[in-house]
Formats: sequence, structure tokens, C-alpha cells
Amino acid sequence: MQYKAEMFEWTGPAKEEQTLSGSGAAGYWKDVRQRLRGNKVVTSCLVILLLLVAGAIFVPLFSRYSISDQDLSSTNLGWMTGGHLFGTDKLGRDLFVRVWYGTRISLIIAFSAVLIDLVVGMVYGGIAGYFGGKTDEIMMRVLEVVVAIPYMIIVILLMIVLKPGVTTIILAYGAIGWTGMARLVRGQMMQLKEKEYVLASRLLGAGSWRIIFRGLIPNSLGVIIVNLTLTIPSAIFTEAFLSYIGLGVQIPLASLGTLASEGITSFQTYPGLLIIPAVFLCVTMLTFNLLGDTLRDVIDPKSKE
Amino acid sequence: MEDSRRTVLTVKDLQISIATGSGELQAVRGVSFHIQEGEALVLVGESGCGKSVTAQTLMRLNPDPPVHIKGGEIRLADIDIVQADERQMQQIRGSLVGMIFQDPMTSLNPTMTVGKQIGETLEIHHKLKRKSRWQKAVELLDAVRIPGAAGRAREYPGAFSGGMRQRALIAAAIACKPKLLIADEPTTALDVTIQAQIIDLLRSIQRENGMSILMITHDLAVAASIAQRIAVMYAGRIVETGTVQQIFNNPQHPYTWGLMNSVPRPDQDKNSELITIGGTPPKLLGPAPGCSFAPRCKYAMRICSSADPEEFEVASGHSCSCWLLHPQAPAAAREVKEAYAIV
Amino acid sequence: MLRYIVQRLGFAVLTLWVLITLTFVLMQLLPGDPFVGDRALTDSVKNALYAKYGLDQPVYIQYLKYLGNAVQGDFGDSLIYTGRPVSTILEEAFPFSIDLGIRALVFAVFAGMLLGITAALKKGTGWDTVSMIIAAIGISVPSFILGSLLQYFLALKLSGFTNTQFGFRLLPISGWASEQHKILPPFVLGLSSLAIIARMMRSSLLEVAGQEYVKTAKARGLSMPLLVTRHMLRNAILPVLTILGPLTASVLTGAFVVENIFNIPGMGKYFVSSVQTNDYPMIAGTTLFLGAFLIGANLLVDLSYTLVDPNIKLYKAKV
Repeated sequence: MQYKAEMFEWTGPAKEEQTLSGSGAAGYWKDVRQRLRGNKVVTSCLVILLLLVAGAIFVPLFSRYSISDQDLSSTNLGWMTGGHLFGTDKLGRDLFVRVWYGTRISLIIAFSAVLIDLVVGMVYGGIAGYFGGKTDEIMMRVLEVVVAIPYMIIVILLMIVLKPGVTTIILAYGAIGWTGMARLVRGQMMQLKEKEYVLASRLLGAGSWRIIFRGLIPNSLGVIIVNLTLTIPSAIFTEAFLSYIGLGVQIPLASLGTLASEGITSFQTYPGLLIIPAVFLCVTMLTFNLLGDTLRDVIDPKSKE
Repeated sequence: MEDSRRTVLTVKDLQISIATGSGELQAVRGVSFHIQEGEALVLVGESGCGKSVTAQTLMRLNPDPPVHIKGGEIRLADIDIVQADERQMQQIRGSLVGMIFQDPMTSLNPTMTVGKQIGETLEIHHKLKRKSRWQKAVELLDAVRIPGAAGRAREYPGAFSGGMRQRALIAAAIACKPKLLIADEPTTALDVTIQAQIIDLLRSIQRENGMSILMITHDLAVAASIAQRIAVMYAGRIVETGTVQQIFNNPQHPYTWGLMNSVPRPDQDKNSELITIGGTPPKLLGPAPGCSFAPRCKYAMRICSSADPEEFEVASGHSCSCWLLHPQAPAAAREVKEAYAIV
Repeated sequence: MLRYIVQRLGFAVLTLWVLITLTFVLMQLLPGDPFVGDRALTDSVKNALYAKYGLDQPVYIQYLKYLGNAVQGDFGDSLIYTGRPVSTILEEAFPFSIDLGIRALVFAVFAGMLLGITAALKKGTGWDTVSMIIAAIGISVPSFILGSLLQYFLALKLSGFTNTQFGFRLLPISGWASEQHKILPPFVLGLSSLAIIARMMRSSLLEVAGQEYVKTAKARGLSMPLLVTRHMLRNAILPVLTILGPLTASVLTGAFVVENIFNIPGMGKYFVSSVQTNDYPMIAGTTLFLGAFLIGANLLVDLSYTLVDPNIKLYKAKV
């Protein structure tokens, strides 16, 4: 076949294109954000959580009733009667306000416990992983002992000694819950320590602490977020469990756990008293669990194809 | 000489696409080759050029989706592989075709003894009883030159080194004396000395059993040490194919030149730089028209980026898809080519 | 191998010691005096009681004594069930708890693995979705809620005509007498563990399915069922087994709640009532006993794991 002669003029190689998108930390987060945006599960979980948090903050603020207002003339009311959306309990307290208030307490407990987890776990794991060697060896042995003692037992013992209450639950959970986070951070630290940019910042004279908190932890952010999201339902569960065996939040306060376990006592005659707090409790836990699972799939590069 | 032997494998205009999150990737875009009985063909190319997908598709090992055969034909000893159903494929895998993979460290099941894994092929296809299976497995281990084979067969892969694992995997792959052995980068993960031993082993197996070999590698030196014929693959296409002598003595495609220059040679001037091929291989999500190598090619002409190159026959059995071979190409091109030719 | 066993054993003893010490310290920190109750005691009676329980001695003597007693399984007498040693009560109650616990665990392990395997093999299909929804519910519904609801609907609502001659009861409401009694409580107790196992099993199996040795085995001509049973399951189940230790712990502590809902006379029933009545020796005794049992169970899981996996890294504790 004949072609135009000019087709056979030299052109040489093309200019080097700007490729290499999607590599490096910035590209990775861009990638994650892109995948999160289209994810229906994440979006709906976030919407539900937003509603729960908003309700927990505002409903008790603006309601006509308070959580401890008793009205012995209208006890055990059913749905939508006597101006009570969810009815009332055996002391005539408005269930709608109580459930939202309970959500507030449960969320406060969960978030605070997770915060303690985060701080203790990050410091502990960060130190162990960063310094390595003997320090790491000793710290990991101590951690193993803590892990080997069944956590619920320790939490219960602590609750008995410290007297039940919101702060106690947070402290008790925080005293045990940090181990998972510590292990995770240590592992990340060990991995990242080998990377070149850490060596580079060392050479530039950055101190150890600076490297830990400025350089390394932002890089482990993904895994940490997932871990935290999954810790929240576990803290909520612990609180509910303690409430059931009588070590939970004490009156006049109420959490979803105490509401549900109170509901159990009169459940067979007034099912709503159990079912409503139970639904709130389960939806909250389910949402956090689903969110954590989905985030893990999205954030974990291993699940990338 | 080629006509006197039967053809074991024929691949015609094979097209494979891979569904990814960001669209359909044209991994293989019209690949054709054939392998004769007792012949070793080596597919050479950079990673990502589609050579592994091609090899695994010959055994239909890739799940569909995402890997889909869009067109073309694969004929293995009169069997139409593209049309075969899963049951037929199971009968073919291991008996008619054996395959070994790149990473011997992860290719053996860690919780099963090596002997049992080798015997598995015989169990499936020859329905051998356990005792004779074991005996055969030990013989095979011995044949792939593993010392103390009888004791070794009872061990778990954890006790084997990388080279020994690859030998064991070869033993498992050739247990049923397949007509064709596909070796997908079998030496890449190994030390250089072990590499040579594995190649040596493959050659003697080929000689003794009259087996055909299709090897995939990115390493021209490895290719030269085993191949009778070489096919150079770039961006899902075969750009040049010929006998070892033809490819090494009279390479025609600029990409082949690049590959050869990337191989350090003993006769090379010590001070001369090792030449690498600039740029990165193209993304095959939506390939542009024209020759895919053009953006990296020092000898690119205007036509290279507008029309797919035709295939030119250089000599009998040696063909190349490159516009430089067109009679209208500038004479300078011929001079460049001669510089690469050894003869 | 022997070194590993000795190391694990030593570690278990160390953990146990930490637990006993911790319990002792916490009990010391308890505010108030165990003998200040409703009745006012004269000083002489009080001193006699102090002497009897060794409370007049220095703390370290008390500690050593406590340690010695605890090792021998002597946790003192219950304050509520007066005169009965805690160990006797535990001895009576433990068989019920362990029966319940084992049933729950067996159910959780088998059903959980089945669910996880189904989900992984049918990935992306309705099977997968349904299995994972069950798993999500399992970890999101606390057992006391699930227990109460099931008790109400299955045992009460669905059982009609109980007073007539033709009366039937689908499942008994509570107790631990017949085999029918032993259906609902293990189910309720095991569901969260089932969910955890199912999720782990699924991801583990999916990971194994992508391994090179599975592809290599496929290239030998193995059919899908053979690939799954021979090459995938064993390797996928191994990591799941490592959580059996912690799961035993969560099942046995979970039994505290389930025993109360279904009125089963196990340790949990006593424990919860002792929490509500401040029966400290009982609380400490149950805690120590359960702790010791779980530490032992963990040790057993660790050791048996070395038997199942030929390639176990013997010093994985270090990693």
C-alpha cells in the first residue's frame, strides 16, 4: 500500500506525559474520597448517625418533658396518647424524651471511651513501635497480660469498686479497650518506620516525638478510623451489658441500655417499653458496624484490585 | 523442518478484555502464535503487556468476569479452548497442559505435604491409588533432582527453599506428561544461580519427554537460554516474532532493540551506559490509534501515531509489525537496523 | 516445641497471678466495711470477726493468705448465702454454665463457619447478602434484648392452649431441665459469636481463594468442590480458630445475662445477684474462677493450634 510521503517523516518519541496519578499518599486519599462519594452504604450510615446525634442533642433540649418528670396520673401510656409520642413508662415519664436522652448518654459514653482508647492506644503503641527493641518487648508483654485477662471481668470489677456511673463506665472501658488500638498503631509504626521519608526527616533533624505525631500517624489514619468506628458499638454494647446486670448508669440518668433493661421487666404487658429503646440501641450499633465494615473495605488498599 | 511436526497449540487473533473499576481494559489485542510439538516458544515483554493474561487464558484460569475472551481462537491439540466448558477444561488442565507460576513461595499449599500435592495431578487424571501415587510422586521429585526425594515428599512446603519449591511445582506440572508446559516467569523470583538450574531442568525435561514449552518472561537472557522461537509482546500485541537467531541477530522492531540494549552484555564496553527504554507502557483503557510504542520510540514517524503498523515478513518465520519496514520508510531506518544486526 | 509450651504455660501463670493480685487490690479499695450492715455490732464482736477473717493483720500477710487460698480454690464464704463457701456454690453452678456455654459455642462455630463459607463461595449473590445481614444483626443486637424478645414471641406468644388438654408449648419459657429448655438459651448466647465467626470465615476464605496455590491446584485440573475442600477450607479455617479463646470468654461472660433471662441456675445467675447484693467474696470468687478458667481455655486453644498448623511460627508471640 502507498502512503503520503510526509507520513514517513521522523517525529521522535512523545514528550514525557504527566502520568503517575493514583500513587503516593495524596493520590491514595483522593482515590478513597472518590470511592466514598459514590458509596450508598456509607452515605446512608452517615445520614442516620447525623440524625441520631442531632436528635440526641436537640430533642431533650426542646421537649416539653424532662427525663425525670413523673406524672402518676398517666402511667404506661401506649403510642401517641396523651401527648406522648412514644407513650410513658410506669412512672408516667415521657418515653420519647427518655429514649433520645438515653441515646445521648450512650453516645457520650461511646465517644469518650473511644477517645481514651485512641489516646492511650496511640501513645502506647506509638512508643512501643517507634523505639522497638527492649522497650517494645516489655511493653508488648505487659499488653499481652492485659489482653489475656477477660475484659468484661475487669470492667465489672472496676465498676463495683468505683461505683457505677457514666464516668466509671468510660474509665473502665478505657482501662481495657486501648489494647487493640495500641497493637494496631505499633504494627503501622513498625511498617512505616522502614520507609524512606522517616529516614529523611530524621536526617533533617526532626525529633522522635515530632516524627511519631506529625509524620507517622497521619499515614495510619485510615486503619485507625476504621478501628475507632468499630470500637464505638463495642463500647455501647458494654454499657448495655453492664446496665442489664445492674452496674450501668444510675438514676436519674438513663442510657439506652438502662432503658431497655428496665423495659424488660414490664415487657410482657407493655412491649413498647422494651422495643423502642431496643430499636434505638440496635440501629445505633448496626449503623456504626456497617459504617466501619464499609470503610475498611474502601480504605484498606489490600481490597483494591 | 517445521512442517514435519504437528502443531500443539494455535492461537489466532486472541482478544482479551479485563473489566476494571474505571472501565474495560484491552489487555490482549489480537495475538496470534503457534507452538509445534517439542518446541519452546518464549513470550517476551514488560510487565503489564498482557503476556501473563494470555498464558493463563490458554488454561482458562482467569475468572470471567472480570477477564473475558472477546474474540479469537485457541486450539490445543484439536480442542477448541474458547468454547470448552468447565468440565472439559478440568480434564485438560494438568493432563494436556501443565503450568508453573512465577512465585514458588506462594504456589504450594502450606498445609499439605509436597508429595501429596504432586500426587494430586495423578489422582485427578490417572485415578491412581494412593500408594502408586506416592511412589510416582517420589520418582518425580527425584527426576527434578531433589536429593532424598522419598523423605522430602513427606515434608510440608515450609521446609523447602524457593528453588526446591519450583522444582516440586515442575514435578507436579509434568506428572501426567502434558503435551504443553506453560511456565509463567518461572525464574523471576529466584536467585540467578538457581535460575540457571531451573532453566537447565526445563530444557532436559523438554528434551526427554518431547514436551512443548511456552515460557513467559521479561528477561531476554532467560528467553535466549531456552527458546527455539521468540515472540516479543508489547501493549497486548505481538510486535515481532522469529527464531532465536533471527531475533538476536537481526532484530527489526525498535522495542526489541530497546529490550536488547537493556541486557548487559559481556562484550560491551564497560564505560558505555546501559540503555533503558524511556517512558512508561501505555495504559490500555482506551488505546490511541497507531503503534502503541510510538510515544516511546526514538524512530517514530508521523504515520506511527495514526495507523496501526502492518505486519511485514522479514524472512521465513520472522515477521515484524513496524512502519520502519515499509518500503516508503526513510533509508536512514535501514542504516539504524543494520547497526543492530550482528551478521 | 517444648519450649513454646513451657513459655505459654509460664505466661498463663503470670496472667493468673496478675488477675488474683488485681482482684485483691480492688477488694481492698472497696469503700466501707464488710461488717457494717443493718445491725450494729459491738466492738468485741467486730474484733472477733476481724480476727476470724484475718482483717487485723498487715496487708501483705492478708495478700499472701489471699493468694494461697485463691490458688487452692478457697474464695471464702458468701455473705448472702450465709455459711456457704463460695467454692461450693460455684461447684454447683458451674456445670450449668459450661453446658450452656459449650452448646452456644458449638452452635456458633458450626453455624458461623457454614454461613461464612456460603457467603464467600457465593460472593456477590443474594446468599452473600443474606448471610452478611444475619451477621450484622448478630453483632448489633445485645443478647438480653434478643433473649427477651425470643422468649416472649417463641415461648409465650406461639404457645397456645397451654391450659387445655391439647395444650402445647413450642419452647419452654425458662429453666434448664429438658432438651427443649436447651434450645433457645444457647441460640441467644451464641448468635453474636456466630456473627463474628461468619464474618471472619468469609474474609479468610476470600483471601485464601486469591492465593497462588489455589490457582496452581486449579491448573492441575481440580474441580471447584475439590479445590474448596482440599486447598481452601483448611487454610481458611486456621486463622478463624485463633479467636476461639477470646470467643469462649465472651460466651461465658455473656452467659451472665442469658442465665438471668432464662432463669438457669449457673454462675452468671449467682454473679448478677451477688453484684446486686454486694456479696463481695462471691463476686471476687466468681471473677477469679472464671478468669482462671478462661486463661486455661486460651492456653489450650494456643497449644492445640500448634498441632493443627504444620507451619506455625512457634514464637508468634514475639511478632
